Amino acid sequence: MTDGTLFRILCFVALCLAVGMVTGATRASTMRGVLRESLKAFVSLAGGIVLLCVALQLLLSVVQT
Amino acid sequence: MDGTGDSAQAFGTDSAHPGSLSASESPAASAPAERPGAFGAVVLAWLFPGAGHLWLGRRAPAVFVALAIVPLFVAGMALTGWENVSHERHPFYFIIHALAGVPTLIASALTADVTIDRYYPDRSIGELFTACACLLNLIAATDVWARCRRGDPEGADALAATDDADEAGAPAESAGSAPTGGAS
Repeated sequence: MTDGTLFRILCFVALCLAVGMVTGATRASTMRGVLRESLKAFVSLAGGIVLLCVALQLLLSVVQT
Repeated sequence: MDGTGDSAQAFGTDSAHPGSLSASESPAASAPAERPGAFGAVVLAWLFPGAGHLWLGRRAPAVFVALAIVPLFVAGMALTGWENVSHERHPFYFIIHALAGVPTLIASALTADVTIDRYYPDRSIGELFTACACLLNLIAATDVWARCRRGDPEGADALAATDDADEAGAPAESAGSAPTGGAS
């Protein structure tokens, strides 16, 4: 894995983290609640996008064979 | 708690009801007639990321919003060589950057004379970061407006936690999204 790819992955994680934090802030008011909702939003967003990419890769590999 | 603690009781106290909103964290106005005006809070939220939530007494959301938006905004600028926030160089992006209020104003003023001296390979990522930060500020301002108009999203959950704790060892209190006028 090259440095460029790793950097792009880190950028993706940072962006998902920021979106997750703001999402969590809009869904709760206590520190514990915001933290919990932020974590849920981050995992949902990042995991969802990763799964989408994996599914697309699988689809492409099936189509190309 | 009694007397003036009715509003705090509806949202729980930090010692008697851990996990629920404490009296110091309870919103400045929990009943619809007492909620603060939305306009001022939304303008504050637009001007400074997190300031709207802080003005409403919501420290945790304010901290999270500020920690999410400001570093993302700055990181985006750094990746583009500090020149992407400018109404002269990027007029269309600036329409989105205007959603961030004071950070955009400061960035635009400080980087007015910046010139690009080298190639930045992750420039597009930087532009995306800054634009996303500004759009997230719009979401935060919308949340401030919603809290002013409809109350906190955790209000019902905090009340539920309060009611569950009360059932364990105290007379039941009336439940609802807004505190009642007085205890029964």
